[in-house]
Amino acid sequence: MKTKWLISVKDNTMDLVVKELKEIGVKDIEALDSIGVIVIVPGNHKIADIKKIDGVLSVEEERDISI
Amino acid sequence: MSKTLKKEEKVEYTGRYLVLLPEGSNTSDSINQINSISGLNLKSSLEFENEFFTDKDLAKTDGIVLDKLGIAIVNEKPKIENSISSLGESEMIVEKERVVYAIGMLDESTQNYVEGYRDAVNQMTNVLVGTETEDYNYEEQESEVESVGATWGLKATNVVPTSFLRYNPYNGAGIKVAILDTGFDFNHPDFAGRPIVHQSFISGESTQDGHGHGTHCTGTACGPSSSPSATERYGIAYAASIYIGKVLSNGGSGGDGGILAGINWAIANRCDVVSMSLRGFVTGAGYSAVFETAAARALAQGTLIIAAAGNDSARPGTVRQVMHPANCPSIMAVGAVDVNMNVAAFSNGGLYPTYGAVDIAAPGVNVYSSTKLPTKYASWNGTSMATPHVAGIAALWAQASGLRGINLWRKLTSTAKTLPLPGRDVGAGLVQAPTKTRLIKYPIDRFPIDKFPILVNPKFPIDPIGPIEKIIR
Repeated sequence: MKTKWLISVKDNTMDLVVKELKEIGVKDIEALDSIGVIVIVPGNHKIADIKKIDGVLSVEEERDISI
Repeated sequence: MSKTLKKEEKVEYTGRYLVLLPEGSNTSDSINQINSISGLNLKSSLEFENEFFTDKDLAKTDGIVLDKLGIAIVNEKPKIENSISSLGESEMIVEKERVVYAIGMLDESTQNYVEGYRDAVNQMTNVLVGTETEDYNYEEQESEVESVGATWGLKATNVVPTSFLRYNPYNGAGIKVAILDTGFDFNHPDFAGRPIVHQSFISGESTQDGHGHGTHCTGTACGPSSSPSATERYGIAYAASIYIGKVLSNGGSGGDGGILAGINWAIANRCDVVSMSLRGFVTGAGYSAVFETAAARALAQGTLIIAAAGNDSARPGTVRQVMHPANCPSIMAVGAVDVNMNVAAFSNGGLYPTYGAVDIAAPGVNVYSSTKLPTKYASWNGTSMATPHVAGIAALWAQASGLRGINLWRKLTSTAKTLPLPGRDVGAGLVQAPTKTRLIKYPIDRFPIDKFPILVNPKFPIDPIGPIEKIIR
């Protein structure tokens, strides 16, 4: 399974960033409104491309977590 | 001149009238008589449930006749003045209703003397037993008896005070606690009838706990105050609302995305405290900017996130750094101590000066709690077990103080018990629950201490120290 990316966004930019992600072809997008984070399954994108989107604060690869 | 006399010099009136009805007359007849004489429209107190009425009820009428007293309270209205005089002519006694104050019993010099005496006693009481005072009552004693058999962790953190002079009246009522873990065993008898909100963020798995870890953590944070089958009390915020977010699979693993989704869900449900006994392994420097942003936003919305520091150390030789996501500055990281107040050998430490600190410590060795059936109960080790101690106590403080978010964080750290250990390992110290002090009313020589029952609940034998079953890493 492909590693997800975690994207934190600036206040009040969630809709804008989601729209931009769709425009560049990201299909699997989960917007977490209460914390201002978007979780995506990237296609053939580069993290640098995501960071260029207005409103994006940071982009990270998902980590494995355990008890 | 006494203060009392000064007050009595001037009589104040409410504007209403009290009318004493003729002896032997019944209420119904009297109401008819008054209404016909005065043109007023009075009601009987019998028209109100249990004869209880308020000022508002009174204001809606011309007056109300107190059935058992034979007295009418007549309202102040423009037409009353003329009507009242007609009542006086009909053998009814009419008085203006007075404003009444609590009686001052002492003259000024005596009052000063007694106040000085009281202040001295209060000061001595504060020195001896602290500043918070509550009257002793037997219901509280009953509560104490119920909880004497409790885990060492609950005693060490003052959830169950060991001193007779202190008690804990808090139970987390009204506080929402989210446990993001492997789910929960909804068949566990200790939680029968307890409403639990739950959501799974693991694809293909329900919130039912197939591991046991989530049930153990939930038990410590929010388990019951008593149980017919547990050997001792293990739950802290037993009246808190439980929110179970399954973010780790039945195999005990998951991903960041599910955890963020769980945090988001908890905030959307207005949870006050989020407990996360989980960790992602990190080797290099730095912390997650995404989690830090999320946690800071959670704090700003009144949600405190508490997470395990991690169990990757092997003391005294190796101390590993606080793991992800507890290493984020806006997430409260919890280290573990044992019953002798030593740092647990596995507990991670704060190795960096600006982030990744251990913020607080809690019991994390030989922690007895609920787990999934059929095992039902187990004693486990880990910062995973320490974390729900802090979460449950955070719920008690949230209830006791009304504080949320960063203010709740500060309350937890400022009230922690300082330990003679490096801050790197235990942060502010051992988390402590809010308690109150009993003020015993009776002189000590009259206090029947030898007649008090021994505080043992037969359901909970004292301090059964069982074998450590396994270490959670």
